[in-house]
Amino acid sequence: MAELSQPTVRSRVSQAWLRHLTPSQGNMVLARWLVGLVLLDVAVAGNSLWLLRAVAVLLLAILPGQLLLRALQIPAASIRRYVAYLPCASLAVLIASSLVVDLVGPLMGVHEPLRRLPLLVGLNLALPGLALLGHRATGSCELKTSDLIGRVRWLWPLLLPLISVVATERLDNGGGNALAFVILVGVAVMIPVCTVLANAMHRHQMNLVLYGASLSLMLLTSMRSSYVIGFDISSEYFDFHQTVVSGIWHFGHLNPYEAMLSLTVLPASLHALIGGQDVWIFKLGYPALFAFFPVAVFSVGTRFLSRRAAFVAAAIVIAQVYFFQQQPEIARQELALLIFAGIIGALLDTSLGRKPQLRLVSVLGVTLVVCHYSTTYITILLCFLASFIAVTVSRRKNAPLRVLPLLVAGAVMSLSAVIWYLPATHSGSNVSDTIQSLRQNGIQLLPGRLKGENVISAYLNGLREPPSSPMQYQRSIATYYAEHMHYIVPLPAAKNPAYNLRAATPPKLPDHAPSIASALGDAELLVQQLINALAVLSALVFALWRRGDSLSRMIGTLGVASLFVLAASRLSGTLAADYNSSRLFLQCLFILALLEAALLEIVVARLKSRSWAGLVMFGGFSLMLVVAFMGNSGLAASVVGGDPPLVLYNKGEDYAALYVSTQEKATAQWLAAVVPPQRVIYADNYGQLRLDQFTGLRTTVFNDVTPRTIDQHAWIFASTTNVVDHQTWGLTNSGVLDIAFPASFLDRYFDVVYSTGSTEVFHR
Amino acid sequence: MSDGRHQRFGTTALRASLTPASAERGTHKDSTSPSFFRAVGRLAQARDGKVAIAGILVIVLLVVQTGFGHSALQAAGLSRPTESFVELYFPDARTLPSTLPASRRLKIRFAVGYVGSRTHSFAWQVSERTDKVLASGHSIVTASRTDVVVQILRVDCSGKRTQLRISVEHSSARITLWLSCPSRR
Repeated sequence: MAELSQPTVRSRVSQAWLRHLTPSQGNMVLARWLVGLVLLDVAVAGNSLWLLRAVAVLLLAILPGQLLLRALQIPAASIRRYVAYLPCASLAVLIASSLVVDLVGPLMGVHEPLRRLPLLVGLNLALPGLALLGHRATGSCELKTSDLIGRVRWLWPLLLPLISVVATERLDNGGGNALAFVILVGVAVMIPVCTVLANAMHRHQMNLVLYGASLSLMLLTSMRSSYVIGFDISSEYFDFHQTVVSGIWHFGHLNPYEAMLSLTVLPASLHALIGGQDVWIFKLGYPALFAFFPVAVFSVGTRFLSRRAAFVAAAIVIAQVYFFQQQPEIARQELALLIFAGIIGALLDTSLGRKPQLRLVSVLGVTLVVCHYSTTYITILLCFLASFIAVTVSRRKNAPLRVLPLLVAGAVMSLSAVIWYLPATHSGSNVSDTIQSLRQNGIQLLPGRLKGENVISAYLNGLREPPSSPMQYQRSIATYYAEHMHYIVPLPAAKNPAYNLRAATPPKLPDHAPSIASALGDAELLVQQLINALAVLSALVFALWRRGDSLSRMIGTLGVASLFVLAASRLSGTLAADYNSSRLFLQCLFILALLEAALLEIVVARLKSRSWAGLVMFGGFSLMLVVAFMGNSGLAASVVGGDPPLVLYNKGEDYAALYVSTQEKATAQWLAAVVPPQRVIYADNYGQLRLDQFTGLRTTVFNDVTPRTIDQHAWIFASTTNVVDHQTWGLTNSGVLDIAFPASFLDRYFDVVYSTGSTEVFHR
Repeated sequence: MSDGRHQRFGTTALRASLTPASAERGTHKDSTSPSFFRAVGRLAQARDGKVAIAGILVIVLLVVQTGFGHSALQAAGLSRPTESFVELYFPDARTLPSTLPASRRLKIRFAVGYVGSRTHSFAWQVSERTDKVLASGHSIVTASRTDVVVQILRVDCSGKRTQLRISVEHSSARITLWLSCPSRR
């Protein structure tokens, strides 16, 4: 020090001081998180303003996920290539943070912890905590959100969901279906056009196209009516709404819906943080999350396929009716399938180190367990089955596959499921029900198989019964009630032949071209069966293919595991009755669609000497998907005739069954307030959905509104379809039967005790 | 939401265009000079239109929530009008009489409700077997409230049983009550 001149010392000191003042990269990152957090606080605090609400939505979707993934040391490049990690991780953080607030809040004197302020405090502790946990992460784990979007002109597909919302509003207000047509035709055109252009498009651009198209299709269903649309979602909404009203969720002996955090704590928290009507979380928020599912298929595809083949894999998913029409009606599974996509994405991600990969699949595995039971069971089964197949196959080929992540994922989910479903919530009744039904009925191999029919034909036809007539239904249901429900006492006048059930004729679109309609129907069936057959073939090819790389072989083993699960549900009547096979198929399609596209790519590669091969093969396949999409979406029906689809018309079977009016809500709530505890309530199969959604009248409601099964002192809920369209439904083994509502019988022997003109309650 | 490379370029461009002007004039006022706007314009261009799109979104979201925005949405058929309808019901639906007293005089209570946003006046009537009007009147019901009407009626009841029907003008809402007739002595 003494040897240095005074100016030199000054210079070194000032440089050190400057270095101290200049923010390091780590501090800059921390500062960026803090700014994000403050912005989130401001946005949530002012969420009555739509602008701030939009900011809150964006930050809640991105910020928690970014922090968690950084804490888990997931490289930003991996996230850029697999965008679905981000919403999955955000969900994991929001669920965990809300649950902790819910449990700790009451201990600190907060009686309603699922409100805005306590939840915000929870996030203000959780997010900086995650930021600190990730402070050792390298620069490669710093994700810039701009990297996920790309260029501004690529954002145009995000206009499609906006058009869908406008389309449903206009349709609900009687303003016509032109915009809904635009969306459906747009997606139908998009499938072959993007297949052709895929290799020339950027990955982000494809992500945005797939996301925009998927979300817009789902919104055409979910945004109809002011209330939720669909079967399961009606009961799901009731549990969600109850949590919102009470502002707290408790452990205890819960039914499976109450025990799922995807239906209770999470949506209640999102509602508290974002504001608006709670129903928007299910109608808009959950589809917006689930729309990442086809994007995830595409992202996994790009890891081992050409962009064109990966797009075709995603298009296979998008074209399915149970993706864009049925899934938005099952809120819990929307989230669960997204998390499933995250788990599969992580299991097949070769860019992740072993530890980050295991951490990520474990976090997402636990999140899946609290989101949906059946998806969890299937995922556990797939993990263990795929591990077994992978070990068997690799031993034969002397080329080991990495099964540790699969085993860890399966073990974490199994352990979490045991803890969550048994001591924590006592809600494992669905497993015990399945076991009991297997004990009672056995596996029921191909129960629909006719005498002398071969196995393949019986397999293709599945569960079936010859269609019933109204009189057959009347006889069988009356006999069943007489034998099993002695406490139901129908009026003697019910046996008067004048009150026999009659068939109803729901409105149909005129048959413009019956021959084309028939040909389209056949083509659609053919395409669907071709997709199934291709799935089987491709899974076997990839699992056993000697020349495949480890990633494609691993996907092949998962594909074979999926086939086992699908075959079991298809062959066993007991399992098929316990879990809807189309929902199972959608989960398995995540893997099978990739394998189908991969098989096409192999064929194209074999024909590489012919330059047109790729275009013709993939282009032709995408046109087949368009045929399936036209049938599934209702586009074909609107052109050639048939049942009017809900997404395009204010009439038709789905509209009558699922579209909920404010009058129906008022009627259901009045009924729930008036009926005594000891009562017999009737509502038809779809009328029950209104009771499910708005009241606690979910048990001991009888769905057979027929004179010979109605108790003489019953309360009968009559929906708009019953009163205005004079239509009801009877549940038979062969499906739902359209029958005329027994208005003349009820008018003659029951009082109308409540009426809005379009809905009524009968009582006597 | 910005790309790092673009951000650096944009910041540099902004600084470069601001510094000479500020240095020359040396006043705070200069920050709003044309060169400032040019710089902002260049920045927006450099960010590939992201700023412009964000700005448009902000303006749209702010305007949509104003009275003007609501009117515009309604005019375009995008805002759902508040549904309004009449409710008719028996408040004591659990304990309705099933037999007419021997005096043939019956005290009946029913409620007229209105689900909507304004106060409405409803003309109601009670008739026997749809043709004979036993009573009629008006109820003024405020939004989302009910008016309970109590009437004592003389019911003719000529056969084994009769049906009372309560209805409201200009609405298809109706409630009915079956009564067994007392035996004539």
